[in-house]
Amino acid sequence: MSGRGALAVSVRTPLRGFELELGLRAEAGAPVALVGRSGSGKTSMLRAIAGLLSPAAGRVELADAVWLDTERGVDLAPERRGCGFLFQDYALFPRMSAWRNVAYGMRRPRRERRPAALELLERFGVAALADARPATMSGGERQRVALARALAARPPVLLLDEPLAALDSTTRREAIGALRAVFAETATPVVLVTHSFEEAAALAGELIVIEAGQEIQRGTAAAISASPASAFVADFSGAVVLRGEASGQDDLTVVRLPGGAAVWSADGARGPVALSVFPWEISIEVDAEPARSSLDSRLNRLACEVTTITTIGSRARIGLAAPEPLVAEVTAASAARRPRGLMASTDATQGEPYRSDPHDHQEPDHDYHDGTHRRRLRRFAPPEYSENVKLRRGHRVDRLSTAVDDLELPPAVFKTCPWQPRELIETGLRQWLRCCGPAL
Amino acid sequence: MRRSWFAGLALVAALATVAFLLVPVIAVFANVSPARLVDALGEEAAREALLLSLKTTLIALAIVVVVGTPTAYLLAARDFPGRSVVLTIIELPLVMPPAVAGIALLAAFGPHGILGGAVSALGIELVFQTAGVIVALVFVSAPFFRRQAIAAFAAVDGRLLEAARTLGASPFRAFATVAVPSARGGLASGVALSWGRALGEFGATLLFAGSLQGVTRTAPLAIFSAFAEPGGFVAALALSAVLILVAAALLLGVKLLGGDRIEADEGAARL
Repeated sequence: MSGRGALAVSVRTPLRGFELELGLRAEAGAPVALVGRSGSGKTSMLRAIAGLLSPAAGRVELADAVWLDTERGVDLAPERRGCGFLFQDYALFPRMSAWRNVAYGMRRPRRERRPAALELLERFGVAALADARPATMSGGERQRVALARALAARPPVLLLDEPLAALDSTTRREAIGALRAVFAETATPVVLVTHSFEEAAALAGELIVIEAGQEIQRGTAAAISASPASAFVADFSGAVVLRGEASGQDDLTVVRLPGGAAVWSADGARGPVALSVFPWEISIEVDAEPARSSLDSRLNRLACEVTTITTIGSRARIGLAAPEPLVAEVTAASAARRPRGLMASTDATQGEPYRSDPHDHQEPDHDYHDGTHRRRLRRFAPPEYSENVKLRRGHRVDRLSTAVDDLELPPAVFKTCPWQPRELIETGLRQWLRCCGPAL
Repeated sequence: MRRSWFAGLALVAALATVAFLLVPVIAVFANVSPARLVDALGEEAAREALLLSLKTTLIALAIVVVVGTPTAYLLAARDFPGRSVVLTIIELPLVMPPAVAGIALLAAFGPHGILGGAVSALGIELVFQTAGVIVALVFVSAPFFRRQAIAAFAAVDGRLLEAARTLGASPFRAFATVAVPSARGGLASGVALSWGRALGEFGATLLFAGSLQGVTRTAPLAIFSAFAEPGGFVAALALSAVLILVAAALLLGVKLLGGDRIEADEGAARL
């Protein structure tokens, strides 16, 4: 099993209630993420690649090897494809110890298996658990054992189904680092599935947003977030992920971005990290006076340039060329007419509980596509400033900031406060800037 | 703690149940002194009957497990048209009176049965032969195993089998190394129930294979023939006592092997 090369997949098959129709191409070293809500057909796509599901029509090829070709009647059994498959709940064999789980897929003489399994477990830092049963392990430990097991047979393709879903947030950070290291090292095509745009952005270069079995949009996380194809994608493609180098400064973490700028986070972190920020947490000011910064509650300010403006219903996504590509979301009215009002309108999009967690959509599908349902739910504050400057492509935005506005204090307090008490800044920032974890 | 009248009633019912089950068992041992028990076992007829029972039930059990396990696996995993009909046919012997089973076997494989000619053409004699006892035991006891096995396999997480397949295991290897160990508890209790049923088999064996000492007279048949002889009640009691001990050991052994082991695993998980 050493067929390294690109994985090309196209699948069409009826699922419960809709048809899955999707194509993708994954190159070694460039992970592809399928992003969508649960029940959108993501996992079925992975199963079709692994051979666990036989689609009505389709082709699956890895380099020169044809795994599935419904036209020619080719459909290789899963054991002959030998995909490394990380199942959502890891599916460790409950009656086998960790090392036996890892050794299960090894094709080597019996006496070499235990040392080889121990070596793999050691690599993932769980060698001490070699003789433990899965039931006695924590979620993070199980994931590492499952990952070791999936990699033990040196699979030609790595498939991951919700690799981070069963982990708590701290473990998730570590896992992101570990997974990225694995992706870089194995040099095999990687396809992963997640319901979290944030996780997809942290783990993969190319994202494919799918809904009811159909591709809605594909591209890099930044590109999708900057110009979402539909209201659904806009709601979904929340977080923009920035990578940088974290260092501590008292209780606050400063993260230096590759372009030279720095942002602050209240989460403690050291070394290479990924930061995530939601577009509706970013407010923008045009040509603001530098002197105002000291009076403002917003700690993170970046000078940047507007590259794209995409209007979706009542909202507008503003693509920004900061040191790293950034995206802000404001009301469409603000984007068109009142740049000073942008600050107020972004504030208006914040604080909606269902907006603050893009993983947790509860409304039915049809409400997303035109955005009307959303619009009704959103509360809009009247623009605070009104200056007749049109925001347009190429416009320079001097400062970009993440707001600290959920402290339930009237904005006036912030405007007059000469300096923010550390505590207030921290509680505010904790909401707005999250460290995803070591980015490597 | 306040006790309701219902809790009291439940307690009385439970005590009555235990007493009702225990009294006959105690009665058997109360009537047989240990010395008499040993004497009874020394008798040729009794020893022969016990050995025959052991031999025939073990062979029948082996057939039941070897054929029944893959059958159950298939029925648990696959959904196909007519599945419920097949399941009903498979469970039918559970509710069929043993005498009916014996008559039905005679009508099928007996000298004048519809397949009788074919069976004897193959040089196989069943009626009044030990082989006939095994056929009757398999027919009557297999559903107890299959039922448990189907339930046990149905409870195995399909993802585990899929994981095994992606790790390069053939369908058979996935079955043998993942499905069977996961279903172990259910399979073990199926073995116990099936074996217990076979040990106690009387009606179908009597009608199909007869009661020839040393050939088809298993322990339950020996108990009946001892009982039918004048003054044979004590001998019947002694054999009964042995069967009770064997059955109890069987039940205990399976509990230790199957069910309780699972709880022990979970207990370890909690630590």
